[in-house]
Amino acid sequence: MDDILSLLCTCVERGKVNRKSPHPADLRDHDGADELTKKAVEMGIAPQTILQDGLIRGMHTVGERFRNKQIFVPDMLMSARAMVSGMEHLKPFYISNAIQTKGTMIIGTVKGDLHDIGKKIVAMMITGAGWNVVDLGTDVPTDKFIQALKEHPNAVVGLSALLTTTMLNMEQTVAEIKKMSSTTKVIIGGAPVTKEFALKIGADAYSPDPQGAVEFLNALPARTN
Amino acid sequence: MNPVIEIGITAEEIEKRRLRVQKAKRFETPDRIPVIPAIAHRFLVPKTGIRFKDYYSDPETMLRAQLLSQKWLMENIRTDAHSITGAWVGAWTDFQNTFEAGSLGCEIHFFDDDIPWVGEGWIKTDSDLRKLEKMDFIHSGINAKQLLYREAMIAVAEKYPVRFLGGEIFYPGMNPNLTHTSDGPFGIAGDLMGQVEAFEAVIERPDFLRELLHIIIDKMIEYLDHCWKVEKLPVPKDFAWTDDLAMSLSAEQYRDVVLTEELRLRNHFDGYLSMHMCGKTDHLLKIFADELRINEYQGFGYQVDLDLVSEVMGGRVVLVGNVDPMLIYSGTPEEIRQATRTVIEKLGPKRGLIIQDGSNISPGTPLENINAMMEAAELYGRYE
Repeated sequence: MDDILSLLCTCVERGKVNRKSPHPADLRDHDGADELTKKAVEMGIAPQTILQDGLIRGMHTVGERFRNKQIFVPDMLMSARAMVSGMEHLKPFYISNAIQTKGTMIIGTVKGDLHDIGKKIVAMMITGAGWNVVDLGTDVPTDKFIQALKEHPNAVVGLSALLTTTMLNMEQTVAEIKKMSSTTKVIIGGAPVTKEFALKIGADAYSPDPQGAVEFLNALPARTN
Repeated sequence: MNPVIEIGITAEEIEKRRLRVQKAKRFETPDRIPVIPAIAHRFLVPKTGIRFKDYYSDPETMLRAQLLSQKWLMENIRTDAHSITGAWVGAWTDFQNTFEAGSLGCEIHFFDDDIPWVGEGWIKTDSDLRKLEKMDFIHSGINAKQLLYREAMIAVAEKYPVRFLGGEIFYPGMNPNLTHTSDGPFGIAGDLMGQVEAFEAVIERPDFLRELLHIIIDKMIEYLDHCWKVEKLPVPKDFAWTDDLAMSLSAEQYRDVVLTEELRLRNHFDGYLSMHMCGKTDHLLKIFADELRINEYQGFGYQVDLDLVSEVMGGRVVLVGNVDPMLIYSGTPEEIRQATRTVIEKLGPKRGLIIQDGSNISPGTPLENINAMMEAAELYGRYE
């Protein structure tokens, strides 16, 4: 059991999606996260164990390497794709509650900003950490965040912005969210965002990288969706 | 006689600023370190009361807004900006970062109260590359519009005379620039393919991506040659590009996929190359300085390590940066003076420093905070 989970973890770390995938070159013609997760399920390994000891463990390493500038966005995206390909096989167990998500995060890039990639990577990392993610996309107006929060009242909200000229729209969104629900946790991120800015606009947290967002979420008390 | 747009700065002061900046760019010793805050459209155009919708839909309105916003900037911001005819401040057919993708098949979305955005990318396959090759980059899409706008600005130029105090009247609209400050080949590839797809291609389809970048650079060279040789614009020989998206590549990936094509562009003109890249680019600094041989690193991110940039580029690349724009937005003037002082103390001794934010001042930033950078230069940045 440990062998297959270690292999699965390696596939996520190195971005090996499936057998057909030519990347990485030294794993050509090997099973990827897709096949290995399927096999692990067929072997009867508990879905929660596959998630925790295979996929999440792999993504944790990826997050640390990204934080330390040992890998960059292309590698991160490949790892995230490997993780998502494995998660597909675990979906039925979420529905049957054999796997419990840790909670829900609503995430989006704020109004006026079309940048998607940073937010997408964070969303993938958070999914890979065992959270349910509601991705609202880019150029998201405040009322769309509010609507999503009504549908997922215990959710944490994540706001992203890439530009110094658009991050200011975070302030209004945070204010509206807090007005509706003062206990809702809001985390912000994106290239220009700083801890000081987060404090100024009343956000609960700031993270300079995806792994920081995962750590923030994992430190929160358990919550239902 | 049309009313003259009088800018409340003396012509003598403008000349002083020009010399100060020129000395800094030549690694000579000016009286003090120059300061040029980067204040762009989202900040400036609303100061004129003109909506983006009108700004982008009519060339005369675009020209008028540019001149009025620069008058506002010169009179309200403490800056060593000294020109109203350059690309950074001046008359130009302003289509921001959309002109490449918008002339290569991507839809451009214009808004009532915001700058334009590039729509979905379309290049997925080899046959798309063949289509791209055949496109007339100079005379289609946004570039066709640029040529029309340029003609229209020239036609109304005499309606917009400008004068600095005590200076001669001049007409910035008589020779407007075309947008030519490129988004950089990888950024354009991100527009044409989609950003996620471009990043994944670095690993999964590097040959495809290299071919796309090659075609993009062919188009850029053709366009810049046109600006230079046909439109007789002086700037493309000494031009600028940004490649923010490439910041997220490792040094190896950047060298493997992007650098070869950027070198083609760089070597074709072999002029003064000003490059901009946001974010923490420590891992790329040596490539920029030693292999791409940039002359200027403009608006580099506040996250860049000052000791490292001094070691790698100090004394041979003009450094324009890099005070944290978020601090400028939300800090106190004293905090900004001290942050500026740190940049001056780390980068000033080797000369070639111009203080700027790193990068792009947010709308709503208090003026006293922006002007604190100049106060710091006056307090801590005097060479004499």
